[in-house]
Amino acid sequence: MTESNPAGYRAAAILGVALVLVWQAVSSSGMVPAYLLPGPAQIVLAAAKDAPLLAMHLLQTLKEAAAGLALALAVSFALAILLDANRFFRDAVTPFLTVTQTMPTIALAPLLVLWLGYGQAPKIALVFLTCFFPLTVALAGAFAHADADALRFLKSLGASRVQLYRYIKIPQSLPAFFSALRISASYSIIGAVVAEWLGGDSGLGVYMIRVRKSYSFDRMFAAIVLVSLLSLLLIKLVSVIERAAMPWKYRVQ
Amino acid sequence: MTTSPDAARDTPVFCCRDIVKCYEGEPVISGINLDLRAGEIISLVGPSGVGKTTLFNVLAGVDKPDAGQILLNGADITGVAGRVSYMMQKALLLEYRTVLNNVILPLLIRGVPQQAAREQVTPFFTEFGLSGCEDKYPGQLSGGMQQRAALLRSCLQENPVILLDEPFSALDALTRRNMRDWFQNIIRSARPPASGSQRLSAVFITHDVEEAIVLSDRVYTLAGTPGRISAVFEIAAAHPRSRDYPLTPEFAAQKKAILDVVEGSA
Repeated sequence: MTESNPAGYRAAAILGVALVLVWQAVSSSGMVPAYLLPGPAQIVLAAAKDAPLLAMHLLQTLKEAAAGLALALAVSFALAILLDANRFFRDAVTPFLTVTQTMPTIALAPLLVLWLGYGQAPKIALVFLTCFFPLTVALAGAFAHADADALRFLKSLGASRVQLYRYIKIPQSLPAFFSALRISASYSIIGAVVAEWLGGDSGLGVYMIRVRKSYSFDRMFAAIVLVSLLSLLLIKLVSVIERAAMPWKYRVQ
Repeated sequence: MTTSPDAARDTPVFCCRDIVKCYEGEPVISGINLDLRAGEIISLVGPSGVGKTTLFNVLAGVDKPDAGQILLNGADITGVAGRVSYMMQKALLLEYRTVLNNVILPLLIRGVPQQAAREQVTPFFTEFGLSGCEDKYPGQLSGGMQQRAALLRSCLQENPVILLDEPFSALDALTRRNMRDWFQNIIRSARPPASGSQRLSAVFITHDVEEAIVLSDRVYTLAGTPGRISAVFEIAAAHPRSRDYPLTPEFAAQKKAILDVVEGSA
């Protein structure tokens, strides 16, 4: 990762600014009609004008994403321990876990709305479905590949199975867990937006449907930018938590 | 028979009888007998792959032997972990725990609450030359210091017997020599509380024949497939042995005799 690499950030910033400028130039020149491709300035203005409305929808999306992600965390942690601890359970359940990931979520979403209604429940369910798999796979994998010598050492002290998880398997799973959490955190926002797209009365997905119907693509772009920013922010938040949770990795040398 | 002061000394505190351990049906070690009396240090020397670490995993109770018995003060502890202390080849300090939190692990496993364990252990940091390292992570310590911390952790298991698998192999020659002297003092003066003031005894794996002679009361050589005890050498020189001991003719003769067995069988 280019974490704490100022030169890398600078290069990306230069490219980003250049792209925005080209986009603005194309849009200002009138080569493409503004209603088809609004320029960056127009998008910022639209976002500013709709700010209170966007904030309300954003808060709703964030709530659903957080609830779904929290549920995914709890379930995947319990599931990963069961998968690791019990061979029969692992053999029986693993194929079905994989099958859940072969179903297209976009097709699943209308069914969830049908079963769970137009409220928050189908959105949280879809966020859960998109988030729990990477977390479960990462945790179960990390538990299974915990350092064999360290486990043997703890057993030589007479450690119980619970103590093996507490002192070895769970702490050693943290790097893999945080990598998966970064993925799941960004999935959670997209999952919530996709579910909202299919029905409901608030959330950024609902907002997108409404502005699309009125052909205000500047506001559509504003929502897209907001979704991207939100995902980036969550990924950054995970990195901050990761640093706090693993001081030995960042304090040494 | 009268009870002489030697009677207690002659009863082994720890012994194994006719140990066999197989992997995939093939015996890796066979017919292993060791005797360790209170306060003794014994060494196992032999080529890599002869099954020394396999034997240690069995002695520590981490693996079950396919045949044979392990006795601690007369009680059968075959396949029971946690009754003898085991320091593995790698220092194996957990990188994500501070040195203090690594060292208290044996106490935590025994169910001692964290705070009490910390208070109980802190005084030993000075004795082991580790003061100031309590809140550092293992990655911030030199190899020698990590080894000290690992040894302190092993000693805190409070068992009368400690198994050490090449504890100094990762260290440079100078550190190694200092650690060896320091280690002798610690082992030979320690009286773990759980042993009822019995002196601490140690079984030691090494590749280094000189190290084995300097440290041990007895050296066992392992050889063959499956690994067996090929010879036993009593090292009679009194303790503490001076740093010049390896320069004596007596030492040279011992070393030649042991090397002849080890290399003859290799």
